[in-house]
Amino acid sequence: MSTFKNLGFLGKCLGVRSYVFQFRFRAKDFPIIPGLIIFLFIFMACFGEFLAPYSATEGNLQDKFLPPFFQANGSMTHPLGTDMMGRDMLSRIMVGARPSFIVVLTVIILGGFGGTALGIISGYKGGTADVVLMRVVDVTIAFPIILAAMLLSVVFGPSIQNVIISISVIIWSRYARVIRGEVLSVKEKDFVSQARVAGCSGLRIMLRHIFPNVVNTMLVMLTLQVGSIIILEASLSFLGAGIPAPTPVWGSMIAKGREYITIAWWIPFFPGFALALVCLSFNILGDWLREAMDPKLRQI
Amino acid sequence: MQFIIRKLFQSFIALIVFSAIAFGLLRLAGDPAVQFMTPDGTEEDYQRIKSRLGLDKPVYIQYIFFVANAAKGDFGVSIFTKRPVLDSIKEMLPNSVRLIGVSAFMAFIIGIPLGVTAASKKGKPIDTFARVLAGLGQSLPIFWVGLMLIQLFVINLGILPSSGMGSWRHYLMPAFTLAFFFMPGIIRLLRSSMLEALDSEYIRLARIKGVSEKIIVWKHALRNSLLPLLSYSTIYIALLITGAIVTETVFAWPGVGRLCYRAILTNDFPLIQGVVLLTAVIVIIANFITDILYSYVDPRIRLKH
Amino acid sequence: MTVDFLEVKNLKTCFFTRWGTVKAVDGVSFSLKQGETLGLVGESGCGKSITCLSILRLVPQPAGQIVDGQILLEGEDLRKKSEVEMRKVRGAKISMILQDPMSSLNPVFSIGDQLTEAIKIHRDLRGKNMWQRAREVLKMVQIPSPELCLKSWPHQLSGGMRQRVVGAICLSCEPRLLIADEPTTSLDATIQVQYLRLLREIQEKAKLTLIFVTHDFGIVARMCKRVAVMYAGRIVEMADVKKLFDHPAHPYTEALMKAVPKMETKERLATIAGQPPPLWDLPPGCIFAPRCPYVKDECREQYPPTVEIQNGHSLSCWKYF
Repeated sequence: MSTFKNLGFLGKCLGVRSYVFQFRFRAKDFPIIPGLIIFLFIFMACFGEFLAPYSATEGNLQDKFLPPFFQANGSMTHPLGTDMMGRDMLSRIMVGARPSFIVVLTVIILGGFGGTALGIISGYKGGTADVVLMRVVDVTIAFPIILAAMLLSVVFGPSIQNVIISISVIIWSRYARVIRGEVLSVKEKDFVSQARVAGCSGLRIMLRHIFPNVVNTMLVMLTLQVGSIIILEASLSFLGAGIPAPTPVWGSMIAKGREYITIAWWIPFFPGFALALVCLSFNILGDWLREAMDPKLRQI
Repeated sequence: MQFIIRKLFQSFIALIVFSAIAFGLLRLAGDPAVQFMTPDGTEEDYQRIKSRLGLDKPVYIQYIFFVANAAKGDFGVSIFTKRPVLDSIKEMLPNSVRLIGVSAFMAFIIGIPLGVTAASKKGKPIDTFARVLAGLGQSLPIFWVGLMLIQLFVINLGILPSSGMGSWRHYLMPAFTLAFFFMPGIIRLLRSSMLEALDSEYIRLARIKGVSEKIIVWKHALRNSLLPLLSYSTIYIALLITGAIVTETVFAWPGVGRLCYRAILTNDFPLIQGVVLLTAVIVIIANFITDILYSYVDPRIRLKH
Repeated sequence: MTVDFLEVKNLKTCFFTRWGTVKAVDGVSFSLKQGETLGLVGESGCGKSITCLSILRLVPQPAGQIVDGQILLEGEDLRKKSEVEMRKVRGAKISMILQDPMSSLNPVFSIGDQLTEAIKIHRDLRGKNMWQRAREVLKMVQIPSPELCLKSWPHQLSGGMRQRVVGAICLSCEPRLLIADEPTTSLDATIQVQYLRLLREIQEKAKLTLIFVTHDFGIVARMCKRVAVMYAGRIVEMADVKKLFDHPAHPYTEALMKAVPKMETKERLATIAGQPPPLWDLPPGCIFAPRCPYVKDECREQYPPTVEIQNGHSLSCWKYF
């Protein structure tokens, strides 16, 4: 429970009113297992490299295709088995958390916060800027992200930057549109007029009055979208347009493991399972967050 | 009428923006003249090739040529197949459309009744089932699902073919995979719109009238809840395209998605560019049609014009 | 002595939420003869609307449940009826006009569709006869051009027109009991007067039994013969309108009357100190005790029983013991 008090304090420091964390009383419903999985994911992303029992990039060819511990010939030395180059699957999965996490984090900041900021500005200022922005949103919002990323990867070669840029570029529009909608209704409220009468500058109003009122929506959208961002990055890596070798990435592990599925099913299975667990956890967390903050946000 | 013209104009602008971006990327991809050079080419040869390709003209003239060619259907030649890009796309497109069609159909046939029932029987087992299904569909990576299906039905059980197109059996796994990926969006949206509708005053009045619960759910509430589905349709199309690309790659389905996959492997820029441009056009047209359709279907908007 | 048309005995409706049980209606009893008009008055949240929904058995489920009491319509207990049987009662025997005309009509169906639906269900009329009846009803609520109205969509009509249409829908199958839940609250003042007049005419002509829910005593005076005052889920006083206005007996009624601004006097507006109690955490004893100027010790211990101090004038207050 004190975690939430701390978060509230942190929120106050950021200038965000702590009513964002007013759902303290619902903390007893907090989905513990998904929370733990997410914590594990972030933890592995930060420290996986040091904690992994073996190297994730180099393997012993003599040890290739060892099955996981619960199958015949398997053992606890390689609990999840080894891949076609003799690399330990568990280590690869642990280290593979990092690229996914980096992508998610950067996309959230660029696309999520960026899109929210643009949505706030567009909704509050209005005028031609608003109209133009919304037209751009209309077009980008419905464009398949995967194609944009593929295009970038062919032009500039696959890299983590391409993945981040292409996902952010398309995803910001989702935030911009939804947040702008919220801003339109918030800016009619009386406390905004009061702030204006008191002489607050536009920037101050947007930061201190409008943003705290839309941050709930933004947070809910973020947590619900993390899952799809992760899967998108994995899909791109699977197709070869994402993060390139030699970085161990769950998506490309599955792609490479495809050929060997008949003899070593665990090579594509476990990375995918890890992906599924992390996404599922984020989605469950997002649902809980949405319920806790405002049951009326069902539409999102 | 004005409305339609305005939307047409907007679509046109969007098209121009897109083509400009694509053109810019084309230039960034590298100097096309270099690709035609032989290893022992000279500076003269280079200039000759450049002028032949029109690359010595000012940028905006090049852009106009680019757009004119695109309008004619000339998207360049694929590096890999050595055939015009448009031909390759035209050949594979029907297969993709078939896959997407079947999957979308499956998703709607299952998703709509599920979403409606989940809302009207909120809290009961069918609601939990629908939400779990939607949750799994959104969380499980689509390519992983496909691979696991292959593992189960092809390798372990041996009852379904693993790739390609052919009989109805070839459709089963790919269509199911894509539908599973696509369904959650429908289920969730429908469920939340239905819940909102069922809470409304006009439903209460319908109950006061003595209308049966079945008619209230399937006529009064559903008619209102289908509207948001329509406005989300462009996002759904994007979702289907994304899913199709991955599904086709997993199941070696001979469609445009698999074409893209090959293009990545071979760095075939003209092909990818062609697909992207075509998709942009499709998206813009779809946007336009959806706007018109929505304004027609919703009586509140229809009667304003 | 004939059976009363409507008899509500000790009705209790609760909402079971994760924060506790909300006692929205906590023992409401009254009875009406055919053709009588009863006003149900009280602050927002006192349970007037839920009482009405309970009579129709349309309390929002699964959280809301009628937990006790009887609702006798012409001697039959509505609580004992199955859902299918209740559907025959709704619209045909009892009907209810809702408060907000802007949201009571389904935006994606035409007025004609919505109006004829009830006629189809209860009167089993089809085709020309059905539309004929629809037009009749629209004329009854004084809509100027019924034909045009039938083809219109809800968003094309003004608030006053919409509320008349809602009235038409409710009256289309000639119910014997009409409940009006603050039907004029959302309307402009001038439209309000017109609407109330219309309602009154219809009620008198058809000898409708009317329950009129409102927070406005002025409307009660105009529309009803008897009035029941509700507070925190109970009826605290019930009497003929004139008697209540002249001699309000319950402290709450007294305070309410005092709080109504009067044109003649220049006194300060009187208010009732405090807040209504939260319905999930009612105080023991009399629910008005925390705010009552006449409070005694016994008020806090036990809820006073309902007594009839005069013919037709009943209340629950320890003051009269």
